[in-house]
Amino acid sequence: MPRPVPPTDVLLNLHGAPHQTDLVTSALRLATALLDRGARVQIWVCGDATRLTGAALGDTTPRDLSDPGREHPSVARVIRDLITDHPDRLYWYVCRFCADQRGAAEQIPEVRKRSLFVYAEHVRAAGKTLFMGVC
Amino acid sequence: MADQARWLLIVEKAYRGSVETRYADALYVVPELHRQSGGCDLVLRGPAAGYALTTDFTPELRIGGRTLASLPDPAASVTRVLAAGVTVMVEEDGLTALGRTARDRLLPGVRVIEGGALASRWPAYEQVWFL
Repeated sequence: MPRPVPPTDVLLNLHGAPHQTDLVTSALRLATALLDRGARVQIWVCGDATRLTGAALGDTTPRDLSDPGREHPSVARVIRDLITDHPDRLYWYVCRFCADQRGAAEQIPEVRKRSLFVYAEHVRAAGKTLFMGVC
Repeated sequence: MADQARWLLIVEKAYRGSVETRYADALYVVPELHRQSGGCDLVLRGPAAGYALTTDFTPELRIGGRTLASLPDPAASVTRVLAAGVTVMVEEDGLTALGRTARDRLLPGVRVIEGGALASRWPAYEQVWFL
């Protein structure tokens, strides 16, 4: 029996690919602004954006060879901390099909993989739905 | 333009992510390519012309409770590329699109070249790469 989708104020659909534009940054900034205002937020990612929370990214970026003593959190770590800092207010859903297709099936445990067949439940559970980018 | 440059590197697609890209922007690899190739020239054109300008922008951003202070910093990247000995050029067309004062805000050491004339320089190089 699939778990019901917790109601949220906003559903952000992040479909644009990372490393192409500042879309991912805009999505994370928007999520931060919404959470700062007390909103409940769910983020559904499709396409290459599913790689953002791939377990293979680890906790840190590759070492910066021009500044090797400095450590940088990976984008997966940034998202993980954003989720854990907002229990019951931020949910990050990864399209199972897109993740599997891109070899990113192994995800950090803080996100939930979902089938596209239940996508409409997420839309119904949100007060507003916003699309950001295309796959 | 340095006579010994063998590879011409061209960047025209700019601002390719921040939180996921961090310090490793499109110019990150240029000093190393310069070292390995025997010499590179770099041309910034189109939206990437903005990389060649000084700015007061601080590349810092808060995501949730974390402040990221290692976002792409194009001006710092260009400065690092110049310090490595790479000749950096910017196309006039791209510069003009950034406003009348853009030329006054160029980073020291960046040269302006005529827009549309870039292809005529290609035969002088062993390789031409769009990064």
